[in-house]
Amino acid sequence: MKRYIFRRFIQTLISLLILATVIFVLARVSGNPVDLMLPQYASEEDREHMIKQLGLDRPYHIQFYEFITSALRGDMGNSIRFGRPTTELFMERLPNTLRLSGVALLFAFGIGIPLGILAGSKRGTQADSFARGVAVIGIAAPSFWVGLVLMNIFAVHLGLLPAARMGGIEHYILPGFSLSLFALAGTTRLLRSSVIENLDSEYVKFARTKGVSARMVLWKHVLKNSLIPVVTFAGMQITGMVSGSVVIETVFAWPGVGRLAYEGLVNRDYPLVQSVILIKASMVIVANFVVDILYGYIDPRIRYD
Amino acid sequence: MTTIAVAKEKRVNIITRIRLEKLPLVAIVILVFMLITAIFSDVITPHSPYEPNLPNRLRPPSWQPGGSQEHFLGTDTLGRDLLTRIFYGARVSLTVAVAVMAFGGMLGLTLGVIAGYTGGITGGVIMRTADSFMAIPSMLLALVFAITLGPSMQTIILALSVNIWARIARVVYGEVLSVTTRDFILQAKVAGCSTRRIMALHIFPNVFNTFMVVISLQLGEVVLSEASLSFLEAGIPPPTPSWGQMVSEGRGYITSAWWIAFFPGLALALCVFALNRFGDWLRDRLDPRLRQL
Repeated sequence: MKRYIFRRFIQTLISLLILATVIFVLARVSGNPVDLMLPQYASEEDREHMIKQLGLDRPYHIQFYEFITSALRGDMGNSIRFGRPTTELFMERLPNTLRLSGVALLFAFGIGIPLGILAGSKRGTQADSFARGVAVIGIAAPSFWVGLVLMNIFAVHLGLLPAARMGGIEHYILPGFSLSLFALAGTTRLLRSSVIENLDSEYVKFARTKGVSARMVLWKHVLKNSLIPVVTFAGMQITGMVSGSVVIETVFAWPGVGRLAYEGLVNRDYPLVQSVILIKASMVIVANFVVDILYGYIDPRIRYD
Repeated sequence: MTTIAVAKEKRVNIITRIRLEKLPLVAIVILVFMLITAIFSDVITPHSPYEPNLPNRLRPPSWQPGGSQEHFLGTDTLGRDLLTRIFYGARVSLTVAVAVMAFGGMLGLTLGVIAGYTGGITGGVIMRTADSFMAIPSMLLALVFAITLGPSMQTIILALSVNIWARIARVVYGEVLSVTTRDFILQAKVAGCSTRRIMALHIFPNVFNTFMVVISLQLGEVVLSEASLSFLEAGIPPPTPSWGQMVSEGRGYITSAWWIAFFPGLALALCVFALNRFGDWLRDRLDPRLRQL
């Protein structure tokens, strides 16, 4: 187990390093990063001054070292638009995103798990067809479009739910559900197929021969084993949710970090986009590391992979 | 008499074969339709996807009051025919998908074959790099590409290729490992084939099926990523019609002109659905072991 954790840890460090390198290199192949950071009306002296100030006239390896160390210190420059440290802006908005993601996870598991079990254990019934339909739509339909359609139906036409922005609990329903859709569909599909697979296994046959009731077989034996793949894919769901939050927060004008990235993007606020993406992606990478370690505990087979 | 019997048997055969192979008919119909509209968009429709026609703006679909037969799905904020732009949008989506698969797919295939066959340090380095790349969320990385290189079709193809190669390399690598242990590779070695020759002539054809399956399973996601990026104004810049960007344009009009955002999104959902369906079918036919993906 120690070896496994160590290996995954090194892997995580490499991922972070690659991420930082790609961002660093991209800013430099596109020209001088100063041009990305300065407003368009900046004078030539301003430009020279900023190059000196940021040390962009120094050799690349020193610049890279500076880039990494200042990122680790949490100092990633000021946003052009807001004129404030980008990390500060990020931290301000982060709770909003986390709350929304929490609601989305609740939807994804709260609906996805029962639906998956139902579909898997009642294969070929109408409930199964319904669950499969949900899974197919959830995976294929773009979340931003589903968000808009739901907004149109529930907010504009029926007037039941607020259309956008943050507020009381009713404000969480539409964006939370739209954000959860991909994870919801994934969970349903995975659980359905693993329940089917497990119901067909030897240990279930044995339990049945022993006289264990069908309900006990399903809830005590099958469910435990069927949930393993759901945990495995939790890392993927986190990644999907973080990427999805950029889109969903934009649709619903949700003041989170995803929306912050979008604002930076349309305002050509390079330092802001750079740091939001760097922090968010690092969080995803670390979260994936944690999920993998947990997975190693739940399912010992993975450690010897 | 015999000819009739044969003809009858043949017809039965086609139907049973479709049923036996579980051909995803709906998906194929959607894909063929989209391919045709993408390739022949300039022939099919009399309207231009770019030319604004302001007096005609925000026309509802033909079946709604105020709609006209001329604009079946209505017009957008600049009075351009929506259906025409959806047809051209198919072209953009499919071009991006094909280009990403050509660049990212080929890169992944080549690196996967090299890593799997040569193994050792080279293979280790390639695969560790691939694993590390897979942990980086692609959408976020693509946003950095967009802001540094400027949003364009080239940028989006590059950004998505950078992400896709690792997943393809991973699967191809596993397949190469199992092919390498087979006798005919050993025989080729004994016969004096060079490493490059073995990889190109013996390994490559044997992992090709797997490669095709992985690629087709990723296609839907590539189309979806392009649309999401274009929706965020980080993808295909206007006026080139892209489905994601069309939904984004219609976003401000959902109370007054819902169709502008609705139909491009529907086209997108159908396209991704069909691609996923087709990918699943291809996997079940060619390489059922990949079910885990």
